[in-house]
Amino acid sequence: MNSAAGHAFSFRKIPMSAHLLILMLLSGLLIHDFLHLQRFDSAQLSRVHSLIDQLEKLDAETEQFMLQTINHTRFNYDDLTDDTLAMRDTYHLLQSELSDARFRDSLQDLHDSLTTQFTAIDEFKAAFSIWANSSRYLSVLIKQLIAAHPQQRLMLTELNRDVLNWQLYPDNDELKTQLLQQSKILRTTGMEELYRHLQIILTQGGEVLDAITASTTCGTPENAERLGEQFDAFYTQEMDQKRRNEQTLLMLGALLLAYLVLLLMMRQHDQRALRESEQRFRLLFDLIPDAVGIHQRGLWRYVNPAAMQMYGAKSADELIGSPVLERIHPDHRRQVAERIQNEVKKNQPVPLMAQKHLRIDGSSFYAEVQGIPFEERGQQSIMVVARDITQRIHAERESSRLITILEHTSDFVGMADRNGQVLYVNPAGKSLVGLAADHDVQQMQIADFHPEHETARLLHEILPKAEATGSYQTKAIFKHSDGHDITVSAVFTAHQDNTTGKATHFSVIGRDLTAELERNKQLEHTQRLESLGILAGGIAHDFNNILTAIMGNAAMANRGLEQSNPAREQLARIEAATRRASDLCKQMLAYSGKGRFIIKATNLTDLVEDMTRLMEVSIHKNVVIKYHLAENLPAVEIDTAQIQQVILNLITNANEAIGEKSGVISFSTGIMHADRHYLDQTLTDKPLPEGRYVYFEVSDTGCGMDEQTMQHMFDPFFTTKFTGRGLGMSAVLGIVRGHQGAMRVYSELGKGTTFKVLLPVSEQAVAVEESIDHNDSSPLTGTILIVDDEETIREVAAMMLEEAGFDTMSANDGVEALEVYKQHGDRITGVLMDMTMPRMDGKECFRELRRINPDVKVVLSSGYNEQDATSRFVGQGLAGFIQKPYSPEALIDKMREVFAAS
Amino acid sequence: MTRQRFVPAAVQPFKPPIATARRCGVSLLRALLLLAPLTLLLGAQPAAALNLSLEPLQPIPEKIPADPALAKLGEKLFFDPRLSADNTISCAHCHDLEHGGVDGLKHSYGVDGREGMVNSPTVFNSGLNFAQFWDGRAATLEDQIDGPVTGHVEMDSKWPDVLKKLREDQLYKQRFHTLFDDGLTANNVKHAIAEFERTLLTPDSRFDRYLKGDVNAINEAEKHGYALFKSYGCVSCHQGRNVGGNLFQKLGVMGDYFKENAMENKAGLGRFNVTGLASDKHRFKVPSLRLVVLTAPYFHNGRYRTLAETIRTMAKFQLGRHIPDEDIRYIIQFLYTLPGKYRGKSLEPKDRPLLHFGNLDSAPSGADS
Repeated sequence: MNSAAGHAFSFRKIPMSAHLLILMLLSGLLIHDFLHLQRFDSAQLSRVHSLIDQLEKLDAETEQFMLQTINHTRFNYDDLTDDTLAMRDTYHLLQSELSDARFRDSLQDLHDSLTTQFTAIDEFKAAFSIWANSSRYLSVLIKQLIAAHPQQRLMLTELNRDVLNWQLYPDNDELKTQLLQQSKILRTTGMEELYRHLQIILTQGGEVLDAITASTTCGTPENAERLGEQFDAFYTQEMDQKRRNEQTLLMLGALLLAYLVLLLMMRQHDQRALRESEQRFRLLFDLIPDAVGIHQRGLWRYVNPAAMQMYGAKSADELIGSPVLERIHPDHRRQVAERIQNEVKKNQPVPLMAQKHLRIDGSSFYAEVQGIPFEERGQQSIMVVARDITQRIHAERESSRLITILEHTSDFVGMADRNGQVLYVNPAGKSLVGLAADHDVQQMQIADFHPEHETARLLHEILPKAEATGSYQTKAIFKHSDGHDITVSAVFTAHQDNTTGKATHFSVIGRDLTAELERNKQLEHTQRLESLGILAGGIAHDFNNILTAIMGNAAMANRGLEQSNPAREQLARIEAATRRASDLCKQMLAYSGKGRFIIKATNLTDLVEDMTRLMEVSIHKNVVIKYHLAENLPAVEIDTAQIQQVILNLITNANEAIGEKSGVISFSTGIMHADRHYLDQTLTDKPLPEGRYVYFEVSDTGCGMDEQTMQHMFDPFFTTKFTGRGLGMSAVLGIVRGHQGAMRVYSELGKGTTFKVLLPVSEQAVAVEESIDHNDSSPLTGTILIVDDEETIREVAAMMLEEAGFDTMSANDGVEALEVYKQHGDRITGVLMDMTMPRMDGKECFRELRRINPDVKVVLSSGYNEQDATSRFVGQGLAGFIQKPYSPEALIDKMREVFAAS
Repeated sequence: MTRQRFVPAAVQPFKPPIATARRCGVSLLRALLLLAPLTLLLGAQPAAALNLSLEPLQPIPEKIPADPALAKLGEKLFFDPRLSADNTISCAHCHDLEHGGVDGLKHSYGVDGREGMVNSPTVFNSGLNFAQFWDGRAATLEDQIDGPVTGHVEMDSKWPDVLKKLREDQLYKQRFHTLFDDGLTANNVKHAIAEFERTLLTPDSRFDRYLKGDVNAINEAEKHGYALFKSYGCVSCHQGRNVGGNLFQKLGVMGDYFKENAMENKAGLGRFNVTGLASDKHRFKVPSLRLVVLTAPYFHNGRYRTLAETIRTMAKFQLGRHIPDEDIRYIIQFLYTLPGKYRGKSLEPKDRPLLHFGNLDSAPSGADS
């Protein structure tokens, strides 16, 4: 079996064409042999022999017939003639039968003998006819002659007898001779006729017998026999050949059959293998989770179940026969069409390509497609393998988005393996630790990122904790490339391998706390300052009230005294002192941001020019102010007084800084464009917009400031001056901030200091200053209701107003004010109301008053600045505002302003 | 054909071993020769009913086996003059079936009136002859056809021309293709014509009926004529079913015929023209006498217009006998019983003009005037 299988195996290697050739060869030999056999005429034997027998029979018959004829038992030549004709035909048949060359001589012999025979038979017939006639007539003639010639009777009778005798013994030549002699006599005796007939009898008789002899000795039967024998020999040969042929044929047949059987078996085997293989492949096709399809000339020919599912087809018919491009999203159709064309043209597979496909229901999805062209039965087909990668794409996109987040997050993100080998650090992380963005971190270890002590902590505390619980949040110290520590709030995550449970990788997300810490510090600082500010503001506000009383009273007292009264001087001092105290309050308020603001669009250069005398006065003799003032400065919206205050403070400090030596204070104004970068380096309340800023700059050649000083320079109550109260700079900063401005400080110990103040450019034109005419003394009439919780203020205000010509009424708080107004509202021209009062504050009271009389004129007074105070009364018809502390003149002016209008 | 053989008890059928044929034959010959005259004498008297097996004449068979479809085609060709060069001469021209199968001329003539060399033998019963032509040069009827078709003085055709003409005829084409695998060929044409000729038998003559046993088929004079025919010895050569046609015989057995009647052409040499043997000089195929009463003139050259002078001449040169007129008349009467029927119609003439002849004794040999 093995050998057979082995033989079959090598047999298999023979190509089909060789098989066919061998088969054809075998078949050819088979057919050849078969034809050979066919040619063998087994009937030939019998035919030839029957012909030969026939010939011999006929030959015997002819002889028989001839003898019968001469024996007078046969009376015509029909049968004899028929037989000769039959013999001739038989010979012709034999001749055609034995066409082989070897028979030619024998046939010729036979032909010759037959010819002899036929000739003899012809002779026989002719001779016998003649002889028979004469023989018959002889007796008659002799009888006649005997009757006519009685004397010859004896002779004639004897003659007759002799003739008859001779006819019995024709080989008796003696008798014949005798007769011949006797016949001569007849001639002389005038029996011509008898003579003639006798001659005939003698001659023709002999000829008849000769003819028979010739016919029987012609050798036809012998020749036929010989022919037969020759044929037999030939036939035996042929038989042997035939037998050999048969054997060969059988062998060939068997061989052919065996060959065919083998081929068939092989084919069967192959068929089965093919079927199995086909089944397997079909199964595979059906099972393959990837979509597989075959298309020809742009139309689907075959789709596997996975493909049907991918496209959402319920049956293969929905896809088969349909155009391939129909399944491709319009966006990709052209590309895909080109790709397919290329494939077909070059007959090469095309690589994976992500394509947008359409399901049967029209929804789209992404598929990864690979195409392989091939030829199937002469037709160019393309096999397509596709995989729905929509999810993958989404996952990839998701992943890439996440990675983008990582890449863009400002937190440090890093990953390392178990061995401490760093695998990834995001850009923010690299930046945090001072690495270049393109620095290859994969050569680094975790330890490179941390100070030594921290690395230890990582190894022994942090990472084990992370591994144990999955993640661990803690503060960690990172190391900057330049050596300094960076505090980071970090979450360490252990990436666990599902099978072993141990962490294969560690990752960390860390937020730089430095800035936060710094901000916290700042915040604390700011908060502290703010609280201080509030405090200061509060104090200032109360102070203002008190100062109002003092100033008011002193002013009133001064008015009442004569010029020469020495108390006037004291009162003047009181006034001055009060004013200084008021300034201080203003500073404090300003610092806290709550100073009174009167915004006007002002040209800074003009302002400075107006202040030059003031500035000159403030400085030492040895100090020179150099002015560099820009022309055509755009306006800035500023509170003139406050900015003046700022400038004065700066000049004062510069002066102080220069000290006893000689020095220069440089004062310049100008306009600049401040960008983000510049602005970021300034001291501001909040981020300022980039743009045009008007600046003034005070620069001195004084002693400069050290770091410490610069840090605390703007702190309230911080001073380097012996006599300083420490509010100057804080006020400056407060004012600048209040103006939406910025400030920059440069200082170098021993060299000098420069302060630069930026103020935003205003769109408005420089405001023309209204001149308030203080000397307008037109009388004022009307009754003013004064509402304030401070008795002194009430009194002072009343005094001021009465002096101006008004009548006054007072109320303690809002409630009382309402009662009064209800009673005397028709008499009351206007109300002077304090903002902050118990029971009912200014706002509420104002509202209530308005209810009573919508046209009520109310002037608000407050220690806070106008903006803050009046902001709550926007749109409510507040007649005016006056800030405390106010001088009588200010009050009168305001009143005039408000009520003169009515 | 079946051979009925009634063998008289005295005579045993001879079946000798081949080798001893001669010896045995001669002795038997001796024995039987004695009986010969006896038999003859016995045969001389007309018996009440004939023993057919003892008669030298035999009836014509009703049929020779022939293919009827082929014969029909042959018949058409037999009458078709397209076989001749000028499309005027058909077989029937010389072998007129309405005229006893001959044209009644001394010599036949062919195209352009060219005179032939011999007198045309009858086509009737020619299938029973053992050879064709006076000199027997054609062994079969098929072979005979070549003679007239190609003969210069006859149809003067060439077979290719004949075939071309025949091919133009759709009927011939179709029939030949139906009957023969190889269609219209010379051989097939010959086959067809020969097959037709084989059907030209005239069986069932009065004499044949007499042979078969109808004693009243012929009258006494006719019977007597038959007896004379036998006793004179005419029957030696004019025997068998065709009353001749089965042997060659010399013309001038008992005398030199050609000395007295010079040959008109070389046809007179007869068989010698075929074999070249001296013994074959002036040997001719013995003609059939079946329709002799219809086929004047007589002999190979058509020399004798009357049957009477023919018989007289024959007797003189073949038998060496003188037959008196009276016997000639009996014989002629007998001969009138020989024509049989063709296609149901008897060819025996109602009138017997050949019986009327002048005194022949005055003229030793009837010269043709």
